[in-house]
Amino acid sequence: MTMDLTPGDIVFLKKGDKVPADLVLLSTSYEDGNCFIETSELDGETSLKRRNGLPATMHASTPAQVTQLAGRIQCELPNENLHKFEGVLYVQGADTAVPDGAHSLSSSQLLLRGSFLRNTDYCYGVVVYAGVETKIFKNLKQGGLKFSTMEDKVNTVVSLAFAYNALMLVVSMILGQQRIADVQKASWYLQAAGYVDLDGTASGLLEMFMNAFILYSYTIPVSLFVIIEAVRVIQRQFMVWDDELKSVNGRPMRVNNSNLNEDLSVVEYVFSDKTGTLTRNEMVLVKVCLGDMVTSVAELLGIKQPTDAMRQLWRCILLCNSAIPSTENGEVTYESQSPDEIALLNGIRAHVQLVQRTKNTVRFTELGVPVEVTILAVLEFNSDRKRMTVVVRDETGTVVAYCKGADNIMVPRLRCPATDPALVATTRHLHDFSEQGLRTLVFAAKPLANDAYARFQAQLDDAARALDDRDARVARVADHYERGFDLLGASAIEDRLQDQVPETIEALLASGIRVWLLTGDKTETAVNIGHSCRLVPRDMTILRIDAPTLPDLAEQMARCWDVVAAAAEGGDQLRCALVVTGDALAMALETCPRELLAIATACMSVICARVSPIQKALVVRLVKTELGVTTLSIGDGANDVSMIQEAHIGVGIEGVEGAQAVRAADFAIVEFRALLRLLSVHGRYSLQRLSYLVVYSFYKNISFITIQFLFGFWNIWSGSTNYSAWMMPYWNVLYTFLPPFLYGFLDKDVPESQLRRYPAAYMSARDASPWVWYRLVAWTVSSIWHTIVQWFGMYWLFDGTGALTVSGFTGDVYQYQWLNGITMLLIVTAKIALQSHYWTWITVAGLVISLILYVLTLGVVEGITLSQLSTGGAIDNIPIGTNSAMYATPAYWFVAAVIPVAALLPDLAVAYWQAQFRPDDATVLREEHAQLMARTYPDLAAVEPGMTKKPSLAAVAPAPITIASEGEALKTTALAPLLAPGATAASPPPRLGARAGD
Amino acid sequence: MSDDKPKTRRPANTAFKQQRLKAWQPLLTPKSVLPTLFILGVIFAPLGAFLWHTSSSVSELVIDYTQCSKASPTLSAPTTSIAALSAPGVTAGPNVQWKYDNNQCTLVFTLPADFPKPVFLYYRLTNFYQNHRRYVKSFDPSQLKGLTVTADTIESNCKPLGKVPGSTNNAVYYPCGLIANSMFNDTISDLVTTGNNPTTYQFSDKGIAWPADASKYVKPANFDYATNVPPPNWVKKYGPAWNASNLPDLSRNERFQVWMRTAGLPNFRKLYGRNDNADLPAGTYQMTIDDNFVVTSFGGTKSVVISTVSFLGGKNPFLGYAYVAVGSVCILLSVIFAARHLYSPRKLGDHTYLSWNHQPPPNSGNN
Repeated sequence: MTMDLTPGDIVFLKKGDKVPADLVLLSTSYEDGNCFIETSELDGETSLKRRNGLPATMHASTPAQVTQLAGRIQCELPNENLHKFEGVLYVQGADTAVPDGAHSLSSSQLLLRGSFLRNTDYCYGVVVYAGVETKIFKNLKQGGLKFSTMEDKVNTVVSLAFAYNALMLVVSMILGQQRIADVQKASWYLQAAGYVDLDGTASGLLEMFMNAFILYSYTIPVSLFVIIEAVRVIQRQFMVWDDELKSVNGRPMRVNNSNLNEDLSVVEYVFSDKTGTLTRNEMVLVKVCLGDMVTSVAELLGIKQPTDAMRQLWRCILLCNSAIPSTENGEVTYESQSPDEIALLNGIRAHVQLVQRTKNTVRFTELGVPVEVTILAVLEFNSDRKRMTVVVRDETGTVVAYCKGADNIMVPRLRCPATDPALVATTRHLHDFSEQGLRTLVFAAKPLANDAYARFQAQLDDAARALDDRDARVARVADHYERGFDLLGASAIEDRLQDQVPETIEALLASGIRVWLLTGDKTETAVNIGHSCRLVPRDMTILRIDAPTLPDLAEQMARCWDVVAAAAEGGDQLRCALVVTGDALAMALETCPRELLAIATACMSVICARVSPIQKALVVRLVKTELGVTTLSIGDGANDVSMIQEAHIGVGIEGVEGAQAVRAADFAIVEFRALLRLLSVHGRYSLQRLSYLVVYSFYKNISFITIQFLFGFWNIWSGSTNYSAWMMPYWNVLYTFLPPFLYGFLDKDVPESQLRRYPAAYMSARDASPWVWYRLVAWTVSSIWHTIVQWFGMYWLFDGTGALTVSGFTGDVYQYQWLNGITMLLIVTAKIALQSHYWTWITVAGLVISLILYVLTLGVVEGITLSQLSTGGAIDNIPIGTNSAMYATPAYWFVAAVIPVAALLPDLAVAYWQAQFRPDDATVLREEHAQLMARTYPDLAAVEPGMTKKPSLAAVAPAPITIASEGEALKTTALAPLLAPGATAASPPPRLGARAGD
Repeated sequence: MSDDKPKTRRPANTAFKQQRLKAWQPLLTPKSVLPTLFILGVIFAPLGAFLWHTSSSVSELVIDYTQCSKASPTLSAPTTSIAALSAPGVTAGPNVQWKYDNNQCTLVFTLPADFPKPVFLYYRLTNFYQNHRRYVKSFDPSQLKGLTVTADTIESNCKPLGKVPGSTNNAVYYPCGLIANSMFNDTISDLVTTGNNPTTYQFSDKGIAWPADASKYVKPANFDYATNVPPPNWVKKYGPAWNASNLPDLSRNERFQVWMRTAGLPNFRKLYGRNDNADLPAGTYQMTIDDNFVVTSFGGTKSVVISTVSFLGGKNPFLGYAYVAVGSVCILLSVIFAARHLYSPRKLGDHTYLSWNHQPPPNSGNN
């Protein structure tokens, strides 16, 4: 349906509907033309927003009336600004009740695509932007498939391999021409009288070139790309299968783009959304504080008779809000612009419940007794005032002003002195609350004498009628009267984080990853969440960049820079968090992005609040391009789609809010906590497996074909093959396919338990990868050495020598080729065996099957041709009768054993020397793991436990992140008894024993 | 997390899917590597000695007769060393003398010790590229199998020796191709003792080809003598045309079959004859060779080889050397590594080697 909409269409929406296009609101179920929408998918804010239809159209609330509306709308061209809309509505006077004319349109008439209609039964709207022209769509970045950073490296290696290929080609052509002149032309057995001699002619040259070209093209492991894809698919499946990445009800994660598996291990910056990503998107009132008494909400049910003080506080909570109750099936639900208000009302519903709110009255039940009070005045909440006041005339006729607000605003407005015991106690509790990451509000009230109220009302009305500077006047009146309150109490609301978010963030930070929080939500909320998820420890200094104008911004940034520079001079880690707000960010991004980035990177954590989707993406782009690091964005809503697409890796959280983020993401996880495991375990393994798979694939092919090059010296570069023509095409797809393929999803360079224990090992994953020049050189040298060993082994065995069997027959070209194939296969198979750290039965099977396949194919070829021959057919150049005889020939067994050992000996020696005297992190962690295993399960030695038939519960226990984040402490405490020389295997391993099972 | 939820709610959960397969995780530690190297060395080095010993138990006489045509018609010692004799316990040389007469090379040599049976006679060619791509491909299996093959097929398979150039009746060579044409055509005689009472030590030309080879060759049933011509190099022996009397039966010509089984490298030996029945007694022997095969034009050599075998085949010290070398290196490495380990051992799993204990990551101060 959404796709059929075009501008000008009129859309009817019911409560809860998602807005399908950008609409100009015409009319709603409310007579005043108001409706409420929720824009959490657009900006992450869960509070309701009010939109109002123009008087010119709001009367048209039936289909018939709406269809009679005629007119036109003039508006801006489609753009990405979510908060701004300008237009003019021209309504023709079809209905005489409405005068013809122009009405200006603003964003308060605009219902954005992707928002939801809330709290309003129905509404009508006319489409202004549809489809790709909608604002949210304009905020989407063009997606496009992302490719791994390894892709470049693979391409580089491919180019190098091509260069090597070309070099061999050129050298063999040059040497070939020379040898033809020197030897071939003189060899009568290669010539025939009357035969047009091709040697030295252009077509002879071409033939030679083609032969060499075809042979050397084996340098490029063509099957590699297929293997990479297959391995990625399996790696993806491992993520999907992983129980620890599943939601509580068993929903697995999804991988939309497995091209990026290995990049998960090189992430340096994580950009996280807040709402629905870190938080659960639900606020809960957990505690209330009355003087020095703190009551948890859970206890309220048990309190049948609330105290007076409590009832006073309940009144204030009940009346001083803008929530609208609605009753369904006898159950009251609240809707409000502020989720805090809903949390407050829900928290105290055991005692009091709102029943109905009209413009001037509020009806509620107090301990089951219905009460009705009259609303006299409302001083709305806004971000400058940070407080809200409601003046009511209660059921006894008393006029009372109720006020709630942030503690720093409210305390000065109280009547009592700062030393008042109740206030002191409350302040102390408030401090505790916020320490725990709770959001606090202070409630107060004061009775108003009738004359005082009358004065206030008169002044307020005056101010409200003023023609100019109305808002400021009202603010002044409000400020004057909102004083001298009596303290009622305070509340603590928990913006509930998802499971293990603080632990996960802590572990990410310990992994050396920077975590930036980018949210559309308010600064305070963002900072609060930053505290509670331990991104910004409470004792951390906060630098703010929130200036509204350019000069202020410059000054602010200069100040920040001073702090940063001072810290840099002192050589200290800057214990600072940077908080940037949307407008300032927009200006900074435009005028001085590098300076902003310099400050941001000097700080430990960065929070960007009030940022639009496109700004989120711009921040990601800035870091991505300026720092050249691998970035990851994680979010759950449509407002995160842009940054998800902009980052190298986009991670979506399958939350309650739609599926747009999940669709745009490369990886869709079920909860934030899964990110850690995705990066540190799956990412690391994917990188290590894939990169060695790639390097190995080139190694084995270069080894395979370099010997072919050497053979050229001994066959006048004629293009004869060193291997059986029957095995060469299968080298990649049969004989050397399985070991690297299996390595690509089975090997583990560091045991999982060690990765959990040491988050810092994350950063060393890239150090262990082969993409550094000296490792590539080492692989090349190894390849050349193997070629040389094999070549001379074969040469000395075969060249001009006598019989190799007791039968006296000398070896022929087929045996030569067969043996070359098997020794080369043994060498490259041994090489990957040496590279493997994790030998499962599949690994072993892969190695064995590869060798068997080789023996089998040539055996089968020989068998088939033999039977063909015996039935009278003729066969082409087939190695019959000699291959099978080789198995009975001891000399071949001896040579097939010694060549691989001689070839791999230096590899083993170097690997041992490195592991022993220049161990990398992986080596040390493996060793420690083996020690732990040996002590915990002496009988299993190096075999991982946990894989015994019945995994213990501990084996599937969640990551012990709390311990993991204290790698240092662990070393001296938990590990100490295990690693101490005196410790005996019999001593019960403390916590590690249970955990070693993963 | 689903940890303490009832198991029934968990989906099928195999060790494979959870990447928890039981695995052996080998480590390169002194405990594992040093013994491995040492044991390898202890196995390889003596094995090498044994292989070397086996190789030297083989008796072998090689005589290079490439330059025989320059020898005088009377017996004389060659001016350069052309022979090599190695037999267990033998230090004396073979005392080769040669003469060349009427296109025939006569070699006289002395065997100081018996050659135990079976005794094999080989010819050895060097610098002969039987592995050249053009050469290797140049034969027609169907023709050899005695099947009817069109001249065009033969022309393409046996290039450049398929059709007879200038032939008016589409005649082809039989057998066609470079391999067949270049067949070794020196004739090597049996060994005859010199002296008053000459005895002959015979070499059989049966049982010298791989048994499977026989099935590749069939004597054609309806041979067309008009359109099949001997290859150029065979003319000297068989004449310019085939007829019922001179047509060879390739399926019984094992020397041909041996020749057709091409060698992998440009220096090679091929079996020419064998004697499984009698030891070759020590003594002085004479051997005559009809000298037809030209090798000097391409800088090659040709030799005759008389050899016995061990279970490893003919004489080839390479395996012995290789095993001794590899075994020694293994032991050497294990000693060096052990010394290094004793001198400054490294504690396994030592945290001071962890990279983050050298340079703390940027955010580590957060905890």
